[in-house]
Amino acid sequence: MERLSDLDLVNEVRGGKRQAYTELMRRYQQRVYWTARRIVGSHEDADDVAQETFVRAYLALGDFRGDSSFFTWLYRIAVNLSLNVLRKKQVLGYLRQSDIINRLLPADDDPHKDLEFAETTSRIEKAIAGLPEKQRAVFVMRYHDEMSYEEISQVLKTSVGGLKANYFHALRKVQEYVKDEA
Amino acid sequence: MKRKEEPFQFSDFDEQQATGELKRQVAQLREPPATISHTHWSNLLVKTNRRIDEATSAKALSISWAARVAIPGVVAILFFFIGLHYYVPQVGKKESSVASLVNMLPQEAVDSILAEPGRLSASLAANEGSSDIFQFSTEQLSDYLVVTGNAQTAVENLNDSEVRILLSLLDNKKNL
Repeated sequence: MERLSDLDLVNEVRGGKRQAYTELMRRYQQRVYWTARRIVGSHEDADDVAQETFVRAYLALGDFRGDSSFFTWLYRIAVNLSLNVLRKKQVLGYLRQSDIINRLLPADDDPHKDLEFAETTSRIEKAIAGLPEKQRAVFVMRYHDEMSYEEISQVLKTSVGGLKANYFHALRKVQEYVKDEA
Repeated sequence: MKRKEEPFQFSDFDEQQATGELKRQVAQLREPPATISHTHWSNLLVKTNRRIDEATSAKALSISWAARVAIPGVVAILFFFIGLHYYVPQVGKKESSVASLVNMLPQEAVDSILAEPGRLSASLAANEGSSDIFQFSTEQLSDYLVVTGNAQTAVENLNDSEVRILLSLLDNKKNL
């Protein structure tokens, strides 16, 4: 059977064929998951981001005009959701520093959870986790997903010059971390 | 004198070199790549499809409608009626005379008022400040929210722009 293009599948979904959307998900769910995983750093959050990305994309499919490829559009949703998760974690981190709220938040003190994370997280993932959010997103897109700066610029709505600077600083930090750990 | 900002220098060649070097370093670590089972991807498809069904079903619509419109609406109406109950003058209701009110008090209370009238006026003055039962200080409100609310849920329900604002406020506070 002839493999349909993403745009053909999108048009089929718009025409009411839900099965076509399952095919789109099958094509991209792993890439979406791994991008999210590298940005947010945990399996649970990445899993949730991947699901939410496809739900939001499905609901907004009517707005997809085809200016960029379907995957770039999907990728943009995934990266923005991942960055949103990071920011929320950052807010919770601040709140945890407060004595009052510290008592009210569920503590992340399950020793088994930490152990599991430490065992399954590679050194490069740990290095990425230490980067500021923007550098983290740029690094993941450039280093792992090998996207061009123009594509990254479409996703993050940032100038190519700024992206290059972010990638340069991220690269240096990751290199230093990996070198120290080796 | 203002220093002229130099353009960022990181040529394509430099970038390729640095990226290649990092890839070599990572390869030398000989870490097995993280793998995810085939079952997980099948489950992810099922879970996502279920979430899409929920998001597009009438049930989801009614829940989101309830969360966004109905519940705040009911709360607003409730507050309106409570406000009406406390603030609107009770026209037509016969006001009790002071004498009948005093008669309703127990004998000991009347005796204590007669013996220590200053105590009564002092307590009345203290109550005067909090005569408006719906007027809370910001501290009281935040204390209440912190004690009764679930901060994690509250943060999770914030939208992206709210999170950005909160984060910049927290950053500013931290830098002070």
